[in-house]
Amino acid sequence: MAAVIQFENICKHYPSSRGPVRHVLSDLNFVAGRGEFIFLVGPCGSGKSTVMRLALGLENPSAGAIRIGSTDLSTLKRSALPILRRSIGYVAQDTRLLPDRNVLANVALPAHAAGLSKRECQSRAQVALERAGLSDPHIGKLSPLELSGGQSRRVALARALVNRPAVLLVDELTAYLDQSSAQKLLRLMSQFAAAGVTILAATHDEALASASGARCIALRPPGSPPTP
Amino acid sequence: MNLLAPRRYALSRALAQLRAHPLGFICALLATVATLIAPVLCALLLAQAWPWPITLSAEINLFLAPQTSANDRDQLKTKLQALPLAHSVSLIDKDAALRALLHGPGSSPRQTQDTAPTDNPLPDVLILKLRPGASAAQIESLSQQLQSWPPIELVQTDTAWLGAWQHAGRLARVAAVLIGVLASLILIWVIATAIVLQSRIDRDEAKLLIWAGATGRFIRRPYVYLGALTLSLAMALAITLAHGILTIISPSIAALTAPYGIDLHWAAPSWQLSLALIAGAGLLGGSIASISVQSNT
Repeated sequence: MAAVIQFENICKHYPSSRGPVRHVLSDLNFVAGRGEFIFLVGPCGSGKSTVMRLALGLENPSAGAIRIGSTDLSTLKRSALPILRRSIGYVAQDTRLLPDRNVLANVALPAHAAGLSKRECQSRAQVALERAGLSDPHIGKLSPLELSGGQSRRVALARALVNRPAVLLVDELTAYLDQSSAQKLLRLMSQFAAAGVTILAATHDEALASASGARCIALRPPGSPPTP
Repeated sequence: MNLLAPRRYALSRALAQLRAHPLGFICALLATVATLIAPVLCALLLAQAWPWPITLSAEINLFLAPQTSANDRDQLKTKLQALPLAHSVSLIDKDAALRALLHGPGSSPRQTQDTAPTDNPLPDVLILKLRPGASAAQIESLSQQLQSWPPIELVQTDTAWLGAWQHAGRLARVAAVLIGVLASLILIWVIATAIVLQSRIDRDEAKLLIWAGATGRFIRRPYVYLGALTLSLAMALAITLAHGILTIISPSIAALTAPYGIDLHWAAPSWQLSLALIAGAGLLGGSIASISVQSNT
C-alpha cells in the first residue's frame, strides 16, 4: 500500500522561558496508506492535535521527518505549502463555522481559496454537504447558529471535503456528539476511507476507536508510564 | 484555476465587510475625509494658482544730482540696464515730476503760475526694477554699490517688505509640508487601524483559509480592496467638499484681489486631475492596508 502520511522519529517540544522544555511528542513513527482509517487515541495533552498541526504543516517538528505523499514537509518551500494543504481536509476540534454567512458559504470557503469560480464553489459545496450526510437542500441556507451539534460537525466535515482531499484530518471526531450521532459519523468515515481517502482521526474515547475497527495509534503524555 | 474568481471573491468579501460594520466604515471614512480636506484644498488651489500673474520684484530708486546732464543720465541708465540683477530701468524726469506735482490735486492756481520750470528743485529719478527672486541681501549689497556711482546722490530701497514676504513664503512652504506630513501620518494611522481591526474581527476566517490552503495574498486581498475603496471614496468626497468650499469663498477672494489687477476665478478641477487623485488615493489605501494586514494574518 502506498504511503500517504509518514511520520518518522517525530519529536516535538516547545521551549519555555519560565520552566523546563515541554515535550509533547517523542519519537513518533507511523505510516498511513491510501484509504486507511487511523485513530490517534490518547488523553488530553498527549499530542493528538499537535500531530494534526504537524501533518498540515502549521508547525514544524523539533526532530524527524514528515512526508505527505512523496513530499517531505521539511524541504517544502513555504510558498508551496498552500498547494499541499488543498489536498488535505482538516476538521478542527471546535467546528469554527463562521456565523456571518450561511452554511453553504461556510462549506464553499476552501473552494474559493483554491481559486474556483463562484458557481463551481457552490456546486461543490452542495455535493460536499450531501457526502457529509446533509442532503436536505434547505440546510445550505441556514445560519450556522441554527444548527445542532451533530449538524455543525457534519458541516465542518463537508467543508473539509469540498476540495476533494486525499487526506482527511479530524480532530476529536465525535466531540459533543451523542452515541448515535457518533456512530453515524464513524460509518461515514469508513465510507470515505473505502473511497480511497486516508483518514487520521484523533479521539480520547478509546472504546469508540476500538469499536470502529480502524487501526489505533496510542499516544500518551511524555513521562507517563507505558500502557500495559 | 480561474484568475478572476479570487479577485471577485475578494471584492465581495470587502463589500460584505462594509455592510457588516457600516458605522465603523462611516467613522473611518469621515476621519479620512477630515484629514484629506486640507491637503486637497491646497492641491486644488496650487493646480489653479500656477498661472496666476503674481510676480514680486523689488525696486531701487536712484535720485540724481540736480545738475546732472541728460547725457550723463542716459549713460547711467545704460550702465544700470547692464547689471545682472536689473530687469528694467525707467526715468521720472524732474520737469515732468514738477508739472505733475503742480497740476495734481491740492496745488493752488497761484502756486502754479508763480513757479517756473527753471526753479525746479526736484531731481531726476531712475527706477531700477530688479529681476524677481532677488534676495534682500543682494539688494542691500547692490544699493551700497550704487551709492558710490556718480551722479547718484541718494539711493532709496525698501527691502523690509520683500524680506517679510520671502519669510512668509518660506513659512507657508514649511507649513504646507508639515500639513502634508501630518495628514499622511493621520491617514496611514486611520486606514491601518480600521484594517487591523477588521482583520482581527475576521481572525477565524483567516485561520480557516490558511488550513484550507489559501495563499497569503488571497487572505490579504479583501483588506487591500477595503483600504483602496475607503481611501478613494474619501478622496472623491474630499474633492467634492473642497470644490464646494472654494466655490463659496471664490467671489470674496475675487473681490479682494480685483483692486490689485489680479483676476482670481475658481474653476472646477479637471476630471483628469480628480481621477488621478482618486486613483492615487486608491493605490495608497491598498498599499497601507496590505502592509498593515501583513503582520496581522
